[in-house]
Amino acid sequence: MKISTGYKNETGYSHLAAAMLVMLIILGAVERIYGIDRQSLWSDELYAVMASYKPSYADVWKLMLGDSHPPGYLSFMYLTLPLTGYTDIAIRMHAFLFGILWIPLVFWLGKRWFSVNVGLLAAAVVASAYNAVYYSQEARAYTMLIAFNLINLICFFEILFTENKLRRYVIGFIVSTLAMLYLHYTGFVFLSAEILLYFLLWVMRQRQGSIREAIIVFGIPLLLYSPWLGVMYANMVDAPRDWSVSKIPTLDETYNTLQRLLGPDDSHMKFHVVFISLALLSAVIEHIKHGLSKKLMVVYSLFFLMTVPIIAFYIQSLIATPIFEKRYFLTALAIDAILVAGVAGKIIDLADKKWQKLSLVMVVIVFSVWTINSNISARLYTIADKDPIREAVGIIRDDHTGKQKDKNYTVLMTHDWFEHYLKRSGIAYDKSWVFRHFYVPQQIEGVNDYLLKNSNIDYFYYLSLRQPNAEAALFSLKQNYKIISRAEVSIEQGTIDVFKFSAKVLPDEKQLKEAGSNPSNEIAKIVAQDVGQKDPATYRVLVTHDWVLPYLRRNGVEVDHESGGGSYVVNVQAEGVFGYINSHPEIDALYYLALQEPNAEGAIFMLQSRYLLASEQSVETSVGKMNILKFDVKSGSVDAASLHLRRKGSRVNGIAELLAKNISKAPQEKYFVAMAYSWFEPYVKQNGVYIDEKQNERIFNGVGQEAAFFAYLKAHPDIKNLYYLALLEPSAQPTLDLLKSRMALTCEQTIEIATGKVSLMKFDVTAKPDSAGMKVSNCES
Amino acid sequence: MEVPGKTSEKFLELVLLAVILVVAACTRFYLLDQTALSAGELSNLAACDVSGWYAMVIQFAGNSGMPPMYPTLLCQFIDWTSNAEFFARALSALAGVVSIYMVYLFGKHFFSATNGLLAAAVAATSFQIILVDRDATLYALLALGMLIHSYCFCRLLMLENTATSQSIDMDIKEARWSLQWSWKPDFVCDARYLLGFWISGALVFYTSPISLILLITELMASTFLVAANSSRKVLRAPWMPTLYGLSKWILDGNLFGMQSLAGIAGKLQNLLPVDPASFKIYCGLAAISTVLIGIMLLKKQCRSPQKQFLAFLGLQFLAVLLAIGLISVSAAKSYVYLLILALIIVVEPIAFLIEKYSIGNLRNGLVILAVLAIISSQIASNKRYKIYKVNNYNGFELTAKIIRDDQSFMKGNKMVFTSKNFPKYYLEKYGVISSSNYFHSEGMAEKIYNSMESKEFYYLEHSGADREFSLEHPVFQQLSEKYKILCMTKGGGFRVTKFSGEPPQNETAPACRVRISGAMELQ
Repeated sequence: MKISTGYKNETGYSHLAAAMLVMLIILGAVERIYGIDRQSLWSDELYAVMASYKPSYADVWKLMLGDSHPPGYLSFMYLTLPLTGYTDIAIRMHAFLFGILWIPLVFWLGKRWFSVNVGLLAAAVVASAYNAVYYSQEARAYTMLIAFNLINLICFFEILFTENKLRRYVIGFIVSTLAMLYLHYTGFVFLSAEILLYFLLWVMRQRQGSIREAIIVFGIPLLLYSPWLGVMYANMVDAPRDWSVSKIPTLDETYNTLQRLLGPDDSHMKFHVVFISLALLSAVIEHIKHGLSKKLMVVYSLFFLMTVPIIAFYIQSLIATPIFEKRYFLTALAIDAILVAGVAGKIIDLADKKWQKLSLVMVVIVFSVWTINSNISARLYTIADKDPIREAVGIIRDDHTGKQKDKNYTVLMTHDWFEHYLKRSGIAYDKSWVFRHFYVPQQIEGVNDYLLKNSNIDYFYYLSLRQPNAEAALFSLKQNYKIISRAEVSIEQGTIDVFKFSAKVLPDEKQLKEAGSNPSNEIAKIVAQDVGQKDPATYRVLVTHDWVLPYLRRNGVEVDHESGGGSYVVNVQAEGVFGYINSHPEIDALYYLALQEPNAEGAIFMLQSRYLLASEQSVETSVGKMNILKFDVKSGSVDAASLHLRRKGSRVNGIAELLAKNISKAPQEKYFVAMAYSWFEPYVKQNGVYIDEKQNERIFNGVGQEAAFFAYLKAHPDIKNLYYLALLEPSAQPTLDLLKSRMALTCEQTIEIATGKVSLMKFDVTAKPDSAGMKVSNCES
Repeated sequence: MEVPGKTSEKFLELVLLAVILVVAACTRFYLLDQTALSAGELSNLAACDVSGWYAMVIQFAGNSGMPPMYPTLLCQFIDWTSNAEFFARALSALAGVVSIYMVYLFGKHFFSATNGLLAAAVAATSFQIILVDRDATLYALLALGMLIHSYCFCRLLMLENTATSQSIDMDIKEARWSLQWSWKPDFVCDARYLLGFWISGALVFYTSPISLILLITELMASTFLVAANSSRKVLRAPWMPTLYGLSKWILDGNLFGMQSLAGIAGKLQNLLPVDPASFKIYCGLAAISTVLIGIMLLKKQCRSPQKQFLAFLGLQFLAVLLAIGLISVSAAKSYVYLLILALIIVVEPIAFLIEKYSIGNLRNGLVILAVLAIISSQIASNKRYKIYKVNNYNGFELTAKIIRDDQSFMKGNKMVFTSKNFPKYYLEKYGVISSSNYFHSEGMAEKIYNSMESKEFYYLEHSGADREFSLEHPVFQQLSEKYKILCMTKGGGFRVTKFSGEPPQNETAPACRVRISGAMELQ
């Protein structure tokens, strides 16, 4: 096949060139297929696989909106995996095929703009390049993206540098641009570099551009990409959360990244750097000597498109989120191959004509052998750097044989991507059970409940990627269930533990002792130390999270009171606590173990406003700071800075502040403050609002109390306004209706708290509800 | 691609050929070292331990009764690359890929380019051929040599035939390769084919004596199929030194003997597809093809070279059938080259039909479809029959792992004795042995008696096949009467026993265990 370009003498395929290209493709294929599924799929690969299991595309779409990548790759996997199948090799097959496609594509580029020799040399560079092989064995978008980038580049150069543009190159450019835009955001960066180059050439008068042409080649793909632009912008804004994939590119880091990009070792990097420098130098010399030719413009353009995206990522990484990662520069690797081959081709051209073919063959062989040898030294073909998920699941599969087969079991796991291999191995697990993904110790109650309800389960496996959170989760399992057996599979980067727990047998002392401690256990120890040998009847322990209870029990702290587990999470539960303490006069100490979060702050405030806070400590856990508070219930509250801080930290305080603002400096006899629950009172009082504590009518939350309530108002004719604080719940509606039917509502303000909504209402006691001209305003105003 | 007509067809042909070769390479190199080396492979590799080529040849020929070409090439290849399992098998895999190209050349030359592509596609993904090509044994290399030799023979034969009727000079495509000797001016040939014929002849005859079959068929072909008497001597020439070299082996070796029908069927089974559906399709197509070719012969529509090739192929079939029936020692894998050649006949009905379409694009489309269909269906079938897990005999590797995992033994004086030399590869790989602590000679029992009084040692026995170990080796009996057995494990074709220098005791020894990485351990 010959393609006429109009400006360059070309050689058609010779038999030797065709044979060499086929051999390079075979070599590339062998390097990529050998061991393609030697390693398990790892979490990033399994993300797309798990997405493809979704029942409808709408579900995948939701997933993609929350992802930090464009939707192309997930859509591709969603559509193709059901056709190709779910074996590891089938899942990675697209990466393999597109990875091989790089070889003929760089050959094409090299041959088209330089010579057949350059094309072959560039193909040889790409065939065995470390990263080209590595990413051809990984089920991610990269090889596909670079293949489209290369097609895009082929078409772009045809548009830029040929006089008679063929329509198919314009179409090819638009289609490939669209593909790379939807595959990865680096496609957008590459397109931006192309647009910049287009206009630079135009401005510098090296090429006559046209608005119409620019609109067609750049406008159409961008228009078709516009539906995703909004999401892309959101992803950019959220970059610190989603995109932080590298360190800040210091000089060392930049060197390391480029070294990892260009070759398996330092000598390869130096080789590439020297040859790229030579390519630039020879271009400049030729430019000075003979002026700017089209060929030189191609060389400069290749340089531009190779470096500009890298510089863009470098600047972005310096000023914002670090994303200086070699996998984003794989296009540069392909362009580098052409530039390096260009120099090597020139050196070969220096040889006598009859020796050129032999030199070419020798150079290709020597370079390939050198690169493959370096790849072997860098353990490219035997590397173990992917999470051994398949192997971990294989352990369960091998364990669940023989007599075990008749027993009932389930599987817990730290991450959902274990499920792919569980499905493929035919290992049963409850897909409808949410706590099968057991990652933090707080979920232990969910596990306990499930196993209690499913008493037929004899044992369960726990697949755990070794991480701090998972360690804490594992600890809670070890505290509750007997380990039958365990195994681990390790790679250089990490370990997956496989535990088999009995669902029926409690852990023995040895296991409990060996399990060691964790922050939750340390907290329990602090309480146990303080409790000492005290009579359990004299203290009460409250907790925000039940998963601390086993640790307290284990350390001899009494938590199994007749009234339940001692769970106290929000301020609205405070009345129950006060009631319990009042009915148990023997209690003199109250311990409260509260994870530091807004709700708990309100809950603590309620206790602190009633009792003396005797001591306060905190311990860092995997899920946040845990406060250990001890209250002396026989002593009253004292005014403390911490009390005010907690009040201000609670949302309910917002409504109390509003109340204080509304009352302002009104005389005490002119208003009356009533509330649905007594837990509003501390907030109100702390904000300096007068409350007549002798009057029981201030707590008004039932229709049966209306006689006493309205009698009180009648008995105090000076009262002009009634302020009422209500928790907006269905049971409160009759009371509110009653108040609204008896007096005029002048203002109302509602705010949201953890347990619902609270409302402040101001009534004019002297006015009728249907008073003409009376409008309900916002209490804020 | 946009250029209409023949150029685009040639380009498509090149692309399809590249795809087929890539598929062939992938199917052969994919996880090439996943399974452990078998006894046959290890015996070939053991030859590379011998220093000096002549000593190696003597040992290899003594052990296997085979000529030395394969171990010579294998040892040189792993010397250049690495001693790893991958490279030990890579030579065969490479030969396998080149064989696929040879099928394409055969099909293209004697039938059509479509035939060549389809036959290559079938061969690239054929279950039995892939198995042969993934084995560090001589069979892949032998098949390649036989194919090259047959191809060169046919090309010389064909040239000779046309040369008699037409102008000699016009028939040689590239004049610069033409060869004409002054002492035999009427025999003009292409020097490349003649060189290929001689080199591949040397390759096959020094690889396996089974190549004698080729000798017989070529002798017959050169007698009956080559019109000009003058060239027979040239074609027969390379056989003479080979025949001389092989004469002793032929006369000494007890090679011949009528095989039972079951034996013949068993051998043939190792060449046929394992998938019953594929087998039926192969048979059906072969039958159709035979009828088709018969009709064409009757109608005199066959070209002369085609007829010669078919006759040559027919002769080879007969010879191989006779060999399978009469030669007791021949392995079925030796005849895999004929299976590859037979594929040309098998695919001919499909190629014939496709070639009947005169619209170029439609024809091209059908060729692409047929190639892709063949590749995908055969790969799916291979996957169903677990092609990459068959022939997985890991006895040698397992015994080495058992010793490696015996930590107390590894820390001490590691003495290992074996009934055969083959385990040495894995014992070395797992760091169990060095030159001073490994013995496998005839007088091994004596050595043990004299030097092992108070030490622990392992004794390894292998039958080299994946079956229950049932040998009762006299050395083992002598050892078990004299020493205490510390542990013993029998598996598929192997027994590993650990002895101590103490006297034997009447208690059952526990099993020697291998620590399986990642297995669940009881708490």
